[in-house]
Amino acid sequence: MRALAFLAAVVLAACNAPAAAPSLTPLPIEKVTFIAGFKPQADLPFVAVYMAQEKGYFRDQSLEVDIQHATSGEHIQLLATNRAQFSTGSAGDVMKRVASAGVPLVSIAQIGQRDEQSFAVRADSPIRTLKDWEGRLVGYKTTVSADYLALVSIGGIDRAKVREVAVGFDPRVLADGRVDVYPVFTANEPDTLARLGIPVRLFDPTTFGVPGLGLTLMTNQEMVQTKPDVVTRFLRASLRGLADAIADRDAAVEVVMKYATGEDRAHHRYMLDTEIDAAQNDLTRANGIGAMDRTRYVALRDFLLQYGGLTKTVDVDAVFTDRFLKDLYKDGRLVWR
Amino acid sequence: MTARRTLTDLGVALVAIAAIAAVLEIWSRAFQVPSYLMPAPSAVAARMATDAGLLAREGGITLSEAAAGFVLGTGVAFALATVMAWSRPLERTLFPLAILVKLTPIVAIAPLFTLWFGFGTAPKVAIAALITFFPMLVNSFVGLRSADLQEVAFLETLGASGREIFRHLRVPSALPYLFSGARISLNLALIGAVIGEWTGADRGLGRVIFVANANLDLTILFGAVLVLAAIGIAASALVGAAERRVLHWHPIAVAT
Repeated sequence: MRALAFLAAVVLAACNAPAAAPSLTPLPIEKVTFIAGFKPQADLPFVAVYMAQEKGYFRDQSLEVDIQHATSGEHIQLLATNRAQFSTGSAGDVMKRVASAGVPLVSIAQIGQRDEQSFAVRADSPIRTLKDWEGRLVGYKTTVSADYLALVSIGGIDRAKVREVAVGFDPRVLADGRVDVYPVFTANEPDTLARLGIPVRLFDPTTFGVPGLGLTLMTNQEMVQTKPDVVTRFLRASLRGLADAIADRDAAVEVVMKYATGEDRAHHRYMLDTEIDAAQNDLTRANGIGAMDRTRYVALRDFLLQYGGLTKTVDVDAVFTDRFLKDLYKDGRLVWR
Repeated sequence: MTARRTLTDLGVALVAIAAIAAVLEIWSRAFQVPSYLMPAPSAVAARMATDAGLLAREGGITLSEAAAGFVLGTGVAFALATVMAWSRPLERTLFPLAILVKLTPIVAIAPLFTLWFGFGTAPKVAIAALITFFPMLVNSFVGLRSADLQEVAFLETLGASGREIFRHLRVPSALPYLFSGARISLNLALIGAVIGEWTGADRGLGRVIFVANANLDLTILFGAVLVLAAIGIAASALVGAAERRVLHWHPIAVAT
């Protein structure tokens, strides 16, 4: 019986593991910089890179990767000027940067397959429906978001009856009762609030039909055009790291904690679990983690245009490419070489 | 004479600014620097002209928050400095607390002010007050203690009360220090208001800068920074003019 279980485990592992292909002659080492879009944490694209670094997958791909973290949005400029070669950002943000400022960014893998933000109310709040937002104080982080305006439209909310206030990035304003509805990053702030003793309920734009997308791994146009092989190798190693993280979440959190020293391990585990859940859907089950679908980018662009998230249109083919993914996956399985 | 010197100083400053702008303009055009990295001065100027109303409105809000914070912070600082100058034990008690305030990283605690005071003007005023507090406290304290001891003794022999000595000797002796503290604190108050506007505000130049940075919209970002600088320069000039008027008898008025 134990032998049978062992055999089953081996078969399962073989199914999940990247398919091996014959090794080629080692390439000269290429130095690149990955700058995460925020502090060290269990954001799934960060985890992919942490794991690839930890397990030596970058080295196997003849890459020497310097991992850095941004705290003030500087990763976009660093990526645009090729001082960093890889970074992270939400699909919507990439579109906005390309459309409004002409920043030469390209998404190369769609890690988060759903909107990364929701709107939270306290679990004991009488707010049950979108319509209940009327007469309430509703927060927004930086500017009033397209997600919010879409929910206003979908919920038939009379916006004149909603008091909107900029609340920044501190969820304690919900815990403190200073706002009734607070915009959260779904992967971490609900847990932060729960740890403050404030469980929340979420209004998730995705469940209302809003075509949002989450974090992508991205690079710049210069890399795509001049060093596509480096992009492929970086993505291959990162996606293998990501597959390992999904297969062994405890080990992934261990690696995250090497970067997020002194932070709450359980919080990062919550974040990892939430992000892994958001990274998988029918598309990724068929095509592999990170899969990209042009129709979803078109839908996202049209949605952002409709609700003011974009001030002018953008060619979606200029903001994402799945050409690297297509080289990496075969029948939905990562080919390792 | 003073007016001519002021005009000369202004002219030199404008020429220097124009020279720097010209170099930046040539550099940004020659190397086709993208606007999300460094906008050309002409683009910033054009944007400032387009959004002059916005910048004026938001600048007015930041200025009002900074002014309120300045009055509050420097008022409390002067009151505490008076107490400290009057009593050594109180000086030893209060000064470490003042150092603590000075060493507190304002950016780190700014979000707390929103939690304590809400989303309105109050947290911005409180942060501006906090950031202006220490320079004025130190200047006031040193100024009040700077009165000539022989002059103090002389007034005491004439039967002057402590209040009279304070009013007619200590405060006048402290005035150069108070003006010096005001110059520093006014500009710090502007920075404090901007920091306050970064955490939970929907108005003000800090808010404009915050949103512009998020959108990589550097033309309006630099426009807001220039308006902030202009307010700071104007505020410093006002203090300088007041100082020259009040301290016309003092050597410092001649030197500034």
